[in-house]
Amino acid sequence: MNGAGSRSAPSATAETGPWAGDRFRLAFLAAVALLAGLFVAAVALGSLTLSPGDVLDVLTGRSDNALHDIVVMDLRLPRALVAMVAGAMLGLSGALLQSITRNSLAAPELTGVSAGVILLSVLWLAYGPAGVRTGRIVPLVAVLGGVAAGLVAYGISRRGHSDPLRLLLAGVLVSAVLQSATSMVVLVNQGATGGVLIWTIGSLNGRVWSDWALLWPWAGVTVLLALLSAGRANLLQLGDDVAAGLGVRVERSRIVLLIVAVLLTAGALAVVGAIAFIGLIAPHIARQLAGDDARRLFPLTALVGASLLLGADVAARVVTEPIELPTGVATSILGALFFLYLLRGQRR
Amino acid sequence: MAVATGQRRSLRGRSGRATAAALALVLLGLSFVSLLVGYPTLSPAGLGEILVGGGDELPRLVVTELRLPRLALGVMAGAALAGAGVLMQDSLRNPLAGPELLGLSSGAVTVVAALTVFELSVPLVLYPWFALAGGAAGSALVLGAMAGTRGWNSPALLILVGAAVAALLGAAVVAIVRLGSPNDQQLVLSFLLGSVGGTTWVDVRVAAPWLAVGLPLALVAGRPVNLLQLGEEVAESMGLAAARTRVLVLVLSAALVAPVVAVAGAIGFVSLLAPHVARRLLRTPDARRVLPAAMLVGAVLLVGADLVARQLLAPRELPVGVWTTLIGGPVLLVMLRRQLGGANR
Amino acid sequence: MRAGMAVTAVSLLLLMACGDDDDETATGATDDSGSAAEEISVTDYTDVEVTLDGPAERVVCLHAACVDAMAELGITPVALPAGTDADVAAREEYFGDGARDIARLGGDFFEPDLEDIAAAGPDLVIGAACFHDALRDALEPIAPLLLLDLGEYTLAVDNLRLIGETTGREDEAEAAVENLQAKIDAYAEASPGDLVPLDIYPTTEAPLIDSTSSQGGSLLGEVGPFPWPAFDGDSCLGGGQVTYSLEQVLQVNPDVMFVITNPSGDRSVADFESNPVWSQLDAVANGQVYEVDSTTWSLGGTRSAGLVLDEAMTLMYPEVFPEPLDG
Repeated sequence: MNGAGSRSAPSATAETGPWAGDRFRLAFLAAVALLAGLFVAAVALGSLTLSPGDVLDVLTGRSDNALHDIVVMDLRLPRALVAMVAGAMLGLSGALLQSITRNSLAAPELTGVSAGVILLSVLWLAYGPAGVRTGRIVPLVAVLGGVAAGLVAYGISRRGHSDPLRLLLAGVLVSAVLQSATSMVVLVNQGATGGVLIWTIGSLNGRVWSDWALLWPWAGVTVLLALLSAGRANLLQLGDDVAAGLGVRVERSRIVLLIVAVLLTAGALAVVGAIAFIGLIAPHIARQLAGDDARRLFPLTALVGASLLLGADVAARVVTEPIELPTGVATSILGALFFLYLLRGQRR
Repeated sequence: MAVATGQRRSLRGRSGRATAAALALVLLGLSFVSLLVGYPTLSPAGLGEILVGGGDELPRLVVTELRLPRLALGVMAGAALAGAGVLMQDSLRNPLAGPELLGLSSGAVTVVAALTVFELSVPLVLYPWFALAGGAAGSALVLGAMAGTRGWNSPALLILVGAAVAALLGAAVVAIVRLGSPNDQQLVLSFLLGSVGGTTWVDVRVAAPWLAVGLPLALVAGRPVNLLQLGEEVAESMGLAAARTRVLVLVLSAALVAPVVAVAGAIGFVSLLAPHVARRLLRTPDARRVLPAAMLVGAVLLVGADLVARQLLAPRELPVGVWTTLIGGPVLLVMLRRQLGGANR
Repeated sequence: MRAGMAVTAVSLLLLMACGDDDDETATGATDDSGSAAEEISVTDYTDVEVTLDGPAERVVCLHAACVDAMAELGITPVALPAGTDADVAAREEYFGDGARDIARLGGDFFEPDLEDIAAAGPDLVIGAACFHDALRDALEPIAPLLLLDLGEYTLAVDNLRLIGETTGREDEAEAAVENLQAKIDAYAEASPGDLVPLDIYPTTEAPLIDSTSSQGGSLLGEVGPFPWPAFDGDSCLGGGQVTYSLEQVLQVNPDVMFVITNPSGDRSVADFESNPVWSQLDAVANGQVYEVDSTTWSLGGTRSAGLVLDEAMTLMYPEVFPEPLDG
């Protein structure tokens, strides 16, 4: 189809070639180890300096220091969990989109979902009824906004049959319109400024157990769906004609995969704001290690995405003390590095 | 108005002239209305009196120092943005190409936002140069990434890369704004959308030299751009140095957009929409004819949107960029429903 | 491959289970089963009931209006954000040198570092509605969060009373409120009230000005004409600053302009004077354009309200008020 960005179909026999089973298993274990290491760092590091002993005491319930308890159990732990799961969701969403569009530069941000999430959260923050616990309602509202925007973009791009790339183009336009609506809300109602400045860039500050409680059920279902759809994604990558020849209902499969991607993205962004680039970069990295076979690519992408977001969050908190960057700035810096990498033309 | 007259002469064909005449009439009508309404709203007789040098002091001041420069900038900016849109869309063979997409607007806005928030003392006259530098950097990032992926033949890739760079620069702007004081934030947000409120002749004088050179150059670029539309190989076979021409055309587009962003902020959707409307009206992709028509359409769009911006919620004003996007966006979506498939060439 | 998937699924399930357990252990400083006699309960701007075990003594401020209120009540906050708020605290009219001992919070105004807040060991955290709403859940195990709106001076008065209640200093709060009210009444009575002011932010773009919903606007409106109505009143920060049309400003033709600048901005008066349109205004033509400090003018506290009124009146009517009135 396209010259650049497109990839070849996965090889049928997974045991030969550079993507042999051993290499993949190694990569997978390394990813798990990396994630575990980052998780430890996320719990141990922060603006309050704690010794490893202090941290262990808290985790085993032997600490008698209430401050340590709060910092580790109520602040760092849920934040790290949210970062991991949201990162995994975004990574998976990117992998799904890239396989649907057969273009490795597709990203969840481009489906219009981010703009929908931002607009609805800002609207709710500005005009929502007082007395309602903001932190618990905003993600629910935001998810609706994200899903609605994604579906609108899909509806626009579809003419009889959906062209995957048209979806992204429609997503870009829908995002632009929704962004303007968001700016209008801010200009008419100054109180919305704070919401915009936080949600547009994405942040993990203040993500606590109540956010985790909203995230994990959604994540559980959507991540499972994504992993289970790996086989179907593989078939779609063979090309519309070949897949149809193999008995796949191409159009319907594409819609289903797209819906899963939209749900993953909306769920993650509704909790962390419009964090960008994880869905773009994680599949790239994973593909270098796992090849194009979605049954390997998807799980590894989830791990890589989780590590990227968690790593970015730890870096954002720790590297520039005491000025804390919002995590979205750290992921944008990752995005900038990714672009420099693209500039050097080393893509597969 | 001088611009409209000059453009009419360069069109060929009956329908072309009729379309241009109609557009020019609409523009004249809108201009007339925009000079009349406001505080105070004048009668046509009153306006006529002022234009010949008479009238009361306050209304005359309002017309000559507020409404006229605002109108002038609206017309010039609309034409410039539309011209840049045509040049980019045709030379990159992409219906969604435009300053927003290529990182031009975002790059320029990032630089100007930094100047504002960090209060670097740069005289207003130099702002377009900084905006140009920022816009060029943003575009270089996009085009460099495209070149790195050897994806010149994929218009969709341009959109993906462009959107990602825009997201990157957008995050940079948000970060800059958050570092600023709360007062700066309101100002910068308004600027980000694009506004011609408060335009005076000073602003017009800053932008005019750039556009006085750029707009005619854009019209002249119609022929090479037509060749580029045919594709790289065909253009080369007809003796055009395709790559170099494309770069020059993009530089010209940047030089059209930079003064507008410097003075009025990043007004969106005019560059995207005006070329498509013009092509629809003229039923031709011939850039030599589309360019002047698109410039007229762009001027109409911007002057019309500014009228709405001033009057809809009077006496408060919303930046014109809000309206161009809120109206232009959906219109473009509808227009491109069919064409979006064409991106898969 | 199935093995890989299984590992992932099991890990996720474990994480979820882990999350569930810890949900129960999060304690809130708000649950308080005994000592009902000392318990204090107030409703903040977001209609949330905030309960404390007793009068708060260690207060973390998340914005400058809280610093103002603390100064009026005679309490030194235990922590506040670095930057503007810390600068405000260090001013003579507030805490002066005493501000050096106040801990600084990392992060920025919108997202203060929660670990730093926790480390300060507060009884109460005071934030701004519309900006800090999302922190409520995160702060639950640390301290109760009181959210206040900023805008007209009457809001500042209400806020001060509310904070006085939570800190057990209602008397000091009433005294400060009476002080301010007396000052406003004194100015209103003695002021000729014939000059029309305009508070404007330093841009010669479409003018961004204070409306009647702002601190400056509401105060000036009590002591003289202030013909700049707000547009939205309901939501928080309701329409304090509005973009007006320049033509409207010309029509009203104010006599005095207060340009609300940052400490480092020093070009603004000249910008207005050299602008062909702005120079037509009576205010600019008669040299009645004054730069005032943006931090004080948009602070939103009762002490800053007094300072704003002092500055504005002595500049507008120097013959009547050569010195600020003792409030």
